[in-house]
Amino acid sequence: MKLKYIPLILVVIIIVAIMGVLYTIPKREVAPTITLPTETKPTPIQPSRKVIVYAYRDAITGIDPSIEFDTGIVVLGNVYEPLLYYDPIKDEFKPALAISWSKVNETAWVFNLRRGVVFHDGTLLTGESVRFSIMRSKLIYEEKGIGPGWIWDSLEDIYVINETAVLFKLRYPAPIPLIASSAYGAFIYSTSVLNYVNTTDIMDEKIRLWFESGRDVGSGPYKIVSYKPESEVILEKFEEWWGWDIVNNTRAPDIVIIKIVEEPAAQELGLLDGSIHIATNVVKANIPRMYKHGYDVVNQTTFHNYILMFNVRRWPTNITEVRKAILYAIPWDSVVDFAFQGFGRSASGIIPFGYPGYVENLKYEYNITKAREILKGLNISNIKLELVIVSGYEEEERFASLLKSSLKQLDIDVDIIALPWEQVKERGVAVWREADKAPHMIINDWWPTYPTPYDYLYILHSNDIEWNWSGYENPEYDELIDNAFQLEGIDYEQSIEMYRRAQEIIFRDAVAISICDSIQPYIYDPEKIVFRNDALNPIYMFVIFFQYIEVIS
Amino acid sequence: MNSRIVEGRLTAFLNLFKISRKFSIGFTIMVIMAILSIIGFFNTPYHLEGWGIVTEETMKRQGLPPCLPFNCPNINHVFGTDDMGRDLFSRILVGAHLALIQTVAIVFISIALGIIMGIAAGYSNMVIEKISTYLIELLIVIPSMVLAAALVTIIGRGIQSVVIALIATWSPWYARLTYILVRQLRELDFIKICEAMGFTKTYTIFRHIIPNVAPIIFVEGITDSGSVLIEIASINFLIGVASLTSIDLPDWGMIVGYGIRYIRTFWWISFFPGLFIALTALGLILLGDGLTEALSPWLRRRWRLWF
Amino acid sequence: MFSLNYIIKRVVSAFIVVLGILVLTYILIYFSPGNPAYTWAGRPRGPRAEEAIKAAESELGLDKPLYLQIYIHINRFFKGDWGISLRFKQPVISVITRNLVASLELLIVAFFIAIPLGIFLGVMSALYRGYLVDKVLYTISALFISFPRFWIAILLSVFLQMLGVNLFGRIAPSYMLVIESVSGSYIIDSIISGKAEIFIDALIRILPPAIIVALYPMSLTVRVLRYSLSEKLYEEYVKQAISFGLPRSRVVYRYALRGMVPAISQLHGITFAYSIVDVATVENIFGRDGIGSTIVKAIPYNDYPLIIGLLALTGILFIVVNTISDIIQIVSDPRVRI
Repeated sequence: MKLKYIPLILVVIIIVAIMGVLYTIPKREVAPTITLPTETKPTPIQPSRKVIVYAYRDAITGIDPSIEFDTGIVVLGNVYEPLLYYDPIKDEFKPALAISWSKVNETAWVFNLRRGVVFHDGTLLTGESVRFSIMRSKLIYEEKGIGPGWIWDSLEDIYVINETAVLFKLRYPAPIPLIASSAYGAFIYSTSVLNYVNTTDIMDEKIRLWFESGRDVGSGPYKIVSYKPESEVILEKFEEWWGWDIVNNTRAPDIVIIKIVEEPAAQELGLLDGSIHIATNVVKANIPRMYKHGYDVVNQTTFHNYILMFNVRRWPTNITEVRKAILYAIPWDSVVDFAFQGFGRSASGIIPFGYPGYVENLKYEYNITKAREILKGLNISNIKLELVIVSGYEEEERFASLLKSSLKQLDIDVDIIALPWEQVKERGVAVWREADKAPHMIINDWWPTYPTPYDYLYILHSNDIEWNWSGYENPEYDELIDNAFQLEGIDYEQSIEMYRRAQEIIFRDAVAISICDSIQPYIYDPEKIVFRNDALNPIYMFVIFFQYIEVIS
Repeated sequence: MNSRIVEGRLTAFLNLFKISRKFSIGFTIMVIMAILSIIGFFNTPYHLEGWGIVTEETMKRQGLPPCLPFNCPNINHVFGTDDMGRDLFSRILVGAHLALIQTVAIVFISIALGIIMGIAAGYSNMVIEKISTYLIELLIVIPSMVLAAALVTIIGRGIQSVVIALIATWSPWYARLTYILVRQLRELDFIKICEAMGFTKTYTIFRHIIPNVAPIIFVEGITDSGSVLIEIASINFLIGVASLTSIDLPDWGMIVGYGIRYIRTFWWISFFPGLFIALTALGLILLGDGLTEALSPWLRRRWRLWF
Repeated sequence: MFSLNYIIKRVVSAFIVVLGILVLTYILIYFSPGNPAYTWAGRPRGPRAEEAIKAAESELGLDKPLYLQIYIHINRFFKGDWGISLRFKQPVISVITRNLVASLELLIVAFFIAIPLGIFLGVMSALYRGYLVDKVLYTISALFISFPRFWIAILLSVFLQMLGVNLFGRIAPSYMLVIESVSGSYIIDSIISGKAEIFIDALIRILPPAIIVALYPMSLTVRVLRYSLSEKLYEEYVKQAISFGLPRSRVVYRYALRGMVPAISQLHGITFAYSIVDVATVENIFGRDGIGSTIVKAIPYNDYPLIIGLLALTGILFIVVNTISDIIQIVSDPRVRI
C-alpha cells in the first residue's frame, strides 16, 4: 500500500524541484553581471560592457550598402555613413563624412571630405571610396535594375580633385546635398572590399555575397560582429570613429544587439524580462499598461504613411464621383483613434506632415448623406468592392474593418484581402495588365528614400508602372511633377509650388489619399536608457543612432 | 442486412456507454461540439465582421447591445469581445464547424488514401509494391508544418494548403498500419484459400482484406483526429495570418495566435478559443480510447474499465 | 548484428527519399504561377530589367526542358549549392543549419525530459492499473495530449513571467558575445568553454519551452506503456518471475520493460517528427530562434529555396532519427533481424 504513494510523491518532488530551480536561480543570476569581468578577462569582449538589445519586427533583407533597399537600413544606419545627414524637422543638413559642400555651377558640386576618417578595416576615407560606393550603387541599378541607385540618375560622374575633395558632375541640375543624404544608396565604404574578394570589377556578384555574409567596411560608430538576418545582428562599438569626441557620450552602448522578434507578445515578454531594452512592436492597446509598469515611450513622427489608392481602370471606381462618395463615407475623425489607436496624425493629401511639399487641408470630411446622394445620383447600389491590404499590419487591418463597416451603410460590400507584401505588390501592379483583376482599392504603405516630394508624387506618375497601382494617367500631372523635379536644383520655391498644384489635381480627382501619418512608438525602460534628441531621424525608418543613446547601469 | 443485425448493433453501441465512461464522456463532448458547429453554420448571435465605430448607431437601432473593443466576458458577450469589437462567442461558433469539417475531411481522406497505399504496398505486384513503399517512406519523413509552409508558397494561400499538407503527412501512417495488417492477413489461411481457389486479387481485397482492415484503422483514426485537430490549430496559430486568405476567418488557432499579443491585458481573446480546441481534442481522444478499450476483447476480459 | 546489407539499404532508401522530395518540390514550383527568375534576379526594375531576368533564366536553366532542369536542381543540391535565400540573401544551407541547431537543442532537451519521465509514469500507471494513481495519470496524459501545447505555453509564459523567471530568447543578451560559438547550441558551447553561469542561464531559458514540448511525447509514452505493459505483466514469464519471489519492481524494470524498449524507441522515432510542430509554435511564443520563426519570416516573401531546403533537411534528419530508433530496436530485441 505504501508503494502506491511513492510515485505521486516523486512526481510532486520533481515538479517542485524544477520550479524551485527556475525560481531561485535567476535571482542569483542578476548579480554576476556586475562581478563577472574579473572572471572572464581573457575573452576578447568583457560582459561589463554596456549591452543594449533593440527588438525590431522584420527580418533584415540584406546589408549590401549599395543595393539594400528595405529593412537592412536598421543595421546599415549604424554601420555606414553618408556624406551628410538631413534633419527634416529642423530642415538643415548635418555634416557627416563631408564637412562642407558648395555649388560650382548648375551641374557641378564640390564636397570637402572630413580628414582622418577610418573605415572599420583601418583604411582611410578617400575621394576614391566616395566615387566607388556611389558609382557602384548607380551602375548596379542601371545594369541589373536592383537597388536604390536610381536616386543618382542625375549624376554623370564623380571626379576626385584631391585627397579631401570630390566633384559631382551632373547631367541636369539636381539638389545633390539632398540626394547625398538619402537613407538608401548613399552610404560610403572603403574600396578595400575589392581586395577582399579579389576582383577589379565594380559589378562583381562576389562583392555582394561578401557583404551579405556579415562583413562590413563602413565608417560608422558601430561595426558588425555577427550577422544572422533572421534572428539577430550584433554590433560592436568602433572606438576609432571620428565622431565620439563630438557626440561626447561616455555612456554609449558598447554592444548593440538588434534582435528580430516578430511576435508582439514575445517583444513584450522580452521587455518585461529585461532581455530587450527597446521594443518597437508592442501592441498599441498595451502601451498605457507599459507606462504603469514604469516603461517610457518615445513617439517618433515618421514619414511613413498609408496611401489608399483607387483603381481608376475598373468599374465602379473609375467614376470620380464614386471615389469621392467612398472618401466622404470614411469617418476620418475616428481613423486616428480607432485604426491607429492614437499613434498617428490626421493626414492631408499624399505627403506627410513635416515633409517638404506638405499641403494643408487636402482632406475629405465625413459626410454620409452627401455620399448617399452621390451614389443615388449615379444610380449605383449593391456593389462589391475589393480592398487589398498588407497582412500583419495592425493599422491597415483596423482601417479596413472601419472602411468596411462604414461602406455597409451605402450598401457597398467590401471584401478585405490581406496578403503578404510581395503579393500585395503583384496585385497592385496588375492594374496595368488586367485592370479588372486588380483590386478596387489598395493600401500602399510608403516611406521616402530621400527628401523630395517627387518621391511621394511619383507613385501616381503614368511611367511608374511599378508603384502606380491606380493605373492613373494624366499627362498634365506627369508634366507638372517632372518639371518640378527638374526645377528642384534651380528654384526650390517654385518647384514646391508646382508640387502643391500637382497634389491638388490628385485631390480633385480623388485618385489616392493618405489615410494617416503614422507615429512610431519606441518603448524602453527609462531607468536603463536615455534617448538623446538626435537618436532618431524620421528619414531613417526604425534606425536608432546608438551613439546618442545613454546606458545607465 | 436484416433488422436483427441492426438491432444488435444498436444494443452494442448502447452497451459502449455502459462499459466505458471515457466513451460516454467523449461522445457527449463531441455531440455538443457538433450541435454548436451546426448552430454556427446557420446563425450567430452577432455579425462576424469588425464594426469599427460607425455601425454602433445602427446596432443600437436594431436593439443589440453595443460591441466595443476589449469587452470583458459579460452577459451580452459570454466570452467577451476582441480588439475590433467582435463577439468572441460568435467567432468560436463559426470556428467550430471549420475545425470539425477540416478534421473529419483530413482523417477520412487520409484513411482512404492510406488504405489504398497500404494495400498497394502489401498486396499487389512487385513494381507497385516497391513504388508504394518508397512513397510511404517519402511522405512519412516530411514534417507537416514545413510542408504546409511550402505549399502555401507554391500553390498559394488558403485552407486547402494546410489540409493537403496534413493529408499528405497523415496518410502514410495509415498506409503503414494497413501494410502491416495486410502482411499479417496474407499469412492467414482464409486468404491463402481464396488465392488457391483462384479468386481475383480485387475480389479478395474488397471481400476480405478491406473489411478486416478498415475497422481497426477507423478506430485508430478517431483517436488520431484529436492530434489532427491540434496540428491544424498549431499550424494556423503560427502561420495562419500568412497562410489563410482572409484575416477575418475565425479559425480557432488563428484567433489564439492573433490574441496572444493581448494575453497580459485582455486574456480572454486567446484563452477561450484555446479552451475550445482543448475540449474538442479531449473529446475525440476519449472517444477513440473508449472505443479501443471496448472493442479490444483482451482488455474487456481482464479489466473493469475505469475512467 | 548490423549487416552491411542493412546499412546499404538504409542509405539507399534515404537517398531515394531525398531525391523524391527534390523532384516533387521542383515539379510543384515548375507548375506554380510566378516567375522564379524574376525573384532570383532580385525583382529588378528600370530599363535593363528584362535583360537581368533573361540572364537569371539562363543561370537557373529555366530555358531547358523539365527533366534537364530537375537534373541540374538535384546536381546542385548534392554539391551543397542550395541557392540563396530570397528573404535573407544568404546561402540557404547556412541559414537552415543554424536555425535547425537551435530547434534541435530544444527538441533534444525535451526528449531527455520526456523519455525517462514518460517511462517512469507509464510503468506506474501499468503497475497500478485501476487504482487512483492510474486514473490520475491517465487523465493527465489525456489532457496533455488534447490541450494544444501552444496554448499551455502561452499560459505558462504569462505565469512564469509574473514570478520573474527569465524566459525570453535562448540566452541573456550580456552573455551572447562572451562565449564563442562552436556548435551553435549555447548549452554545448557553455559546457565546452566551462562557464557555469552561462550554462545555468541557457538551461533556465530552455527548460520551460522544453517541458511544454515534452508533454506530448511523455503523455504518449505513458499511454502506450499503460496499455501494452499491463498486457505484458500478465504474460507467463513475468508471472513466473514474480512467483519465484523476485521483487515486483525489479521484475517490471528488468524484464517486462525490456520487452517494451522496441515499441518505445519506435514511438519516439515517430513523435520526434510530430513534435517539430510544437517546437515551432513554442519557439515563437518564447522569442527563441529556430525553424519556427524562420518559417514565419520566410513565408510572406515566398522564399521557396529556403523552405524546400528546410523540407529536404528535416526529411534527412528524420531518416537519421528513424535509423537510430531502428538500431535501438535491433539491439534490444534479438528477434528483429534486418
